Amino acid sequence: MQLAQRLTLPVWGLSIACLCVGLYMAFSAPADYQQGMTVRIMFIHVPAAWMSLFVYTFLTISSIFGLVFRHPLGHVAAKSAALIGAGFTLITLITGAFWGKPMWGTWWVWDARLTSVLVLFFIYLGYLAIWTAIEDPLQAGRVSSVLAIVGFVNVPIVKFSVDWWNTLHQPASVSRFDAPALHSDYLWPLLVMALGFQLLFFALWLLRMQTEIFKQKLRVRRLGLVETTNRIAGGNGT
Amino acid sequence: MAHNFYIGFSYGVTGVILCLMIARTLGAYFSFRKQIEDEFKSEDASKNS
Repeated sequence: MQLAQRLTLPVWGLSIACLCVGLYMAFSAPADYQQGMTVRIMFIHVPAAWMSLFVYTFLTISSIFGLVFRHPLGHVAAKSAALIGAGFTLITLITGAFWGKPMWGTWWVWDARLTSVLVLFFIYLGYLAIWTAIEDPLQAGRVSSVLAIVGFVNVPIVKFSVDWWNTLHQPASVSRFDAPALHSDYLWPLLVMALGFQLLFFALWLLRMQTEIFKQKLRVRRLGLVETTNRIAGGNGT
Repeated sequence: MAHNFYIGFSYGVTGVILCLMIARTLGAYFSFRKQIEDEFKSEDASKNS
């Protein structure tokens, strides 16, 4: 808890600095010979897409720690990451549609990449719905962890959908086994924005973790108070 | 010109979603921190009295 409190401000500062530098670099990048200025959508769409997969992987690992190893912070870490992951996935879907319209001539196609990202968004929503629907945190943690682990099947499908199926979406340009197929004018702003998004995730996650711990402390304290009151009331009755 | 609309809307929507996430996170954090501080303050006050 103390470490989280100490880390929060520096991570916030770094993420804001990275995003400012990344935005400056993104708007200084030259126009693409095919896409023109529309290529600038890439600097938010691609980092958001990377984050949606990264956060889900992080959520699954935390859920395994909570469910299998019974680590007390496992479910808290997973729950704290879920809303941020859903936000990044929503950004991916919306910016993808706004990039698709001028480039492909359509907002949406039911191809493997787009559909699997939409499924990922629904899994995030399902995960969050379980935490809202079940009041007991232990039971909610168990049920949501099972969904998170089963839902992880979708992550490699999202990543490799462009290789496994013939899709309108282009294949990977940066995370390839050989050198990235992206010019350094576009690669550097993209990497700085990705770092900014990554740091923003950790900044938000640290705050959400602390909030969840506050909530649990309050819950335990209030339950203790109710028990004490009930004991006193029972004692007076007899 | 039309391209500016797509770029502007993409960056705008991203900004709105990120701002909402940040506002919601900060709001919840400060609200629960205040509740915890108030609970412990009232406990200290009752112990001292």
